[in-house]
Amino acid sequence: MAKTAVVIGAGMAGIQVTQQLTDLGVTVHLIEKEPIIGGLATHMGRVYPTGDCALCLDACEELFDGHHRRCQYRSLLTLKKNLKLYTQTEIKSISEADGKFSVSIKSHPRYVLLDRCVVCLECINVCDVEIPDEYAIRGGTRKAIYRPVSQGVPLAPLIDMDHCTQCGKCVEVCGVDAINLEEKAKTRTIKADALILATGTEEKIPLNLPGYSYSESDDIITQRELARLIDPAGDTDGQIITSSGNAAAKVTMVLCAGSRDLEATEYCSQACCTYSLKHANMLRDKEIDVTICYMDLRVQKASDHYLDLAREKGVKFLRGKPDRVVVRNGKPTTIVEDTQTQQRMEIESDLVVLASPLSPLASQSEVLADFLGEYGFASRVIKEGRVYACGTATGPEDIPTSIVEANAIALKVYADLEGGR
Amino acid sequence: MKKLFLCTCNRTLDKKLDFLRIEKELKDVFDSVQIHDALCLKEGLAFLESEVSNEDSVVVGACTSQIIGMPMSEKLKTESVSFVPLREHVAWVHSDDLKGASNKAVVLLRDAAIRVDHMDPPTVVENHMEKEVLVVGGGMCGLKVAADLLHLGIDVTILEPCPWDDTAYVEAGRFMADEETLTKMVKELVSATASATTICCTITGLKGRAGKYGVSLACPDGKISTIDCGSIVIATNVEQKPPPMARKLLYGKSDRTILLGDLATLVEKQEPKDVRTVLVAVDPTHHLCAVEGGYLLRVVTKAVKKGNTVIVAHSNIRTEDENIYRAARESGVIFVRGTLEKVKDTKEGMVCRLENTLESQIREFVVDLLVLQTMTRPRGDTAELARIAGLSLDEDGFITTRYLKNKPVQTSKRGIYIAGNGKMPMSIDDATASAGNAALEVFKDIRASTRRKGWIPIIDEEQCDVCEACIEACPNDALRLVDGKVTHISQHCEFCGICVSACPTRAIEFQSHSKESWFARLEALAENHKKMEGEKPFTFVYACSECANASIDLAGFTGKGYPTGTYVIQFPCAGMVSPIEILKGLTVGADRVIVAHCPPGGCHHQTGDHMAELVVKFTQDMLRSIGQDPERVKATYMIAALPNKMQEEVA
Repeated sequence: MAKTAVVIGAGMAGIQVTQQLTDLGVTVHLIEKEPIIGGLATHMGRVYPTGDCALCLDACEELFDGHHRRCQYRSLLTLKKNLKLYTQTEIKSISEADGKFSVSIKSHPRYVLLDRCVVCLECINVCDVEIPDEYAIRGGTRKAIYRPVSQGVPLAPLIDMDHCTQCGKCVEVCGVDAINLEEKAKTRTIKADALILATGTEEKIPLNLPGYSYSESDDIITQRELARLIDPAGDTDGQIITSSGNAAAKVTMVLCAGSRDLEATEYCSQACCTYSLKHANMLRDKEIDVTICYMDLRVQKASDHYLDLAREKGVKFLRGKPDRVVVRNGKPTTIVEDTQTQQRMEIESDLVVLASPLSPLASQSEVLADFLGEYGFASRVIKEGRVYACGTATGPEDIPTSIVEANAIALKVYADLEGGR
Repeated sequence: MKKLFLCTCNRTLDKKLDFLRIEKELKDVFDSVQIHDALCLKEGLAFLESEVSNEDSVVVGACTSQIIGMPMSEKLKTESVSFVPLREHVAWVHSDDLKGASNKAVVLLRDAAIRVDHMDPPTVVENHMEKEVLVVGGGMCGLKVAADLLHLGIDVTILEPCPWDDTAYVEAGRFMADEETLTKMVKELVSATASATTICCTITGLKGRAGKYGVSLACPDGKISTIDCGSIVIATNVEQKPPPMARKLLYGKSDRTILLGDLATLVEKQEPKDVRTVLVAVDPTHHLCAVEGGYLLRVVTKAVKKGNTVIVAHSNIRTEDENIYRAARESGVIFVRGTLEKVKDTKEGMVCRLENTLESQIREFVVDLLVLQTMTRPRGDTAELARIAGLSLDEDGFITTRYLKNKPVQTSKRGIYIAGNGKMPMSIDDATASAGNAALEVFKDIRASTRRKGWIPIIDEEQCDVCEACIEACPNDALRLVDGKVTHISQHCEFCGICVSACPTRAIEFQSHSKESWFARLEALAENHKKMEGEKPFTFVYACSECANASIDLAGFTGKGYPTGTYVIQFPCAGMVSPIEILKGLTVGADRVIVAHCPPGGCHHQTGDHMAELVVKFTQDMLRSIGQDPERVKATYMIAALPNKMQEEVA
């Protein structure tokens, strides 16, 4: 009988490990708390080291001979017969008996039926509710029935019941009976032979980070937020604009904002130097003046060209970790000592972008607490032959590293489940 | 029978397109036109299944084939199907122009009708994989690949140029992890790979194809032999090389300038009384990678713990573990920023002159030993191995992979994988993951012999003058010269058609995409456009079916509209487009022809983006030489993350 695995988290690593395991004949239940898959990558637009789409997946064997890669929306991931994807789903409990896990999950209703929706978007067009869009930075809105990002998979919209007025217009225009406003949450228990944490990381929101005034100004943003500004499909159509609606001409980036710091996040998040450089280069292409304040530039070897390119494009580098970012005359001002010249500088700019650390999402779940180690990250093999982790659940890393790790873990899980020679 | 199926997508497309008129206009081309409200749903698919026989050819006007193509092909009994993405490429992008959009739909559906006439059944390619695997290089990573495969019941031969023992493995992997971790791991791996065949030879040649490679070997006893294997995993090791500034810093001239590895050995054997002052210099021209940084930090921390004074002159410390950096600072290692410009070997010691480039600040240190941070570079035999296997190298001599982001162990050759340090210097964690990944890919190949379906190039031997341009251009080693003839290795083919545009005599035609089919289609497109739109100018966008097509789909999803009179014509790869199709497009009357490909270096077939740019440049030169405007032709990339690209290009 086919073995069964539960993969928690459908970000890049979770999708990758799932594709590999299902290719190998293992049945996988893929659990995602968000309404769409992709995790952090859904925010990032374009990614290093290749400069192309964040939502590009390694294609599975069944569909494309495994030798290709595909956009998330083209991946047909949800068509795989031995893969069951649960979105908007949380883990309620995990117990182990007789060599099997029982994983209890609770799936919140989407109110749009995945096997009925044709993605005509008419329901979105007729919805009258407009509320702030979580993916928007400059006041963009979405409807109560919405698709979080254009490539988001599953493609079907979902209803935000907290804001839905139950006016019924969407139900009326849906000629294919895809909307059920009465849908209830479902709880299920899945029996599994192995458990894989691909819970990923999120960019820490620096609300409580002292000194950098993040909560005082909408012109002090994080790198993830900058990625949303750069995204041509985002609410600013790719325009880099300040909170007052003007085009930004000068941007200061603060690397290690709250990381490599015993008072805040102790570890180095590995990926932020490079994605900051990637963003700096993109801003330079729009002729925006960019200064990067840094301690060390930790660029992955495969991405060294981003550093060379940044120097070529005239990104300014300043070695020194800013003491403070303050708002002066309505503009964020970075106060920093240049450690090379020992000069104290005050840099006024239109935007300050903080490279906030990546922090593990698993540590937010009580159910997973027992699986985690230092800083809330897990080791690759948490429990030999039973529980595994891959991707940024094991520590901050970039997409290529996550993919390799997910592949390696897929083989390990398969070998452990199916037994070897 | 030729049948057209239109989908209203929940009665929405028929509001943006005049379905009645479309149906009327197309009566002469199709034997039947049927309209359904949800072809993608269960009932729609069942409808298609019942309506279509294996004799029929079918045109589907609905949403993008990227979404419905696969589910529909599973239900349709015929393979003669053409999709027209009325939703993403027409209705959603021309939502304020009912007439224009309907005209465009008619033109595209008529084109699809011609397209199915020229459609060949796809060729089936079977690829049987021999179960034997050759692992080249038996360092930590090679051992791990072998151990993983042996565990899954696959026969493995490990090839090493010379016999190694546990100590040699630990020695070679010292930069990857601390001694204790390495020793333990080597012990485990050596015992796990006991049943592998180990041979001490070097590779001199490679023949065959994925699944059936023949590797020629030269062995130390002078014997030449060959072994057969299905796949090859390259796991060659690295060595520590002195940095570019080594000569200037008296390496090789003074015995007080040593390399980092020498310091590690020295510290290992150091007596408590022999304490020294040491300056470790990092070459600013060398991009220190994380694993090198980690090694440096471990060595200097150990040196300080043994009572030495250590100064590290650097510009950036990269490491994967902040805690070892912290431990180094806490143990008393002195870190200074700057470049070591000059060193003098004097009686008092090595006088090191350190410059802080920006400030022109100069500091002098007098030390007992000057230690140079080394560069981790591929072992000497890697380049030769890459040459034999036909793989390319990066500027540091590492073997390049198929795609940096998510094809991390695949090389440009099917059946040949790269694991561990041969790709880039890796920590033990990254190297073992890389090994597991390579083992997985090999195992997947062997486990299920792949059976692929697709259109392939057909070579006309009469027309072919064996110039070998196609062989040169094929990114996948799917064309070779056998007995004086260009021969297609179908197991390597990726159905991209790059060979077609490379051929100067058009002796290669791609199934379903012959020159005749393009002529017929482009002429009809132009004629139908004129019939519907009169003198309105029109543009052809020749889009690759990967990134460019996705970008155009996403333009629909995000509502980034553009004017009608823009016809997107799909090619398997933009690299297939030759000057013939471009010039034909212009001669039938197109105002502009845009060739849209994947991002630079991001072609799914490896070189299509580059090829498309070359072909367009070549065509522009031709236009210029006959006094035509070269700006009518353009090559550009489009990706899904830039859904506005189509709008920008055709505006």
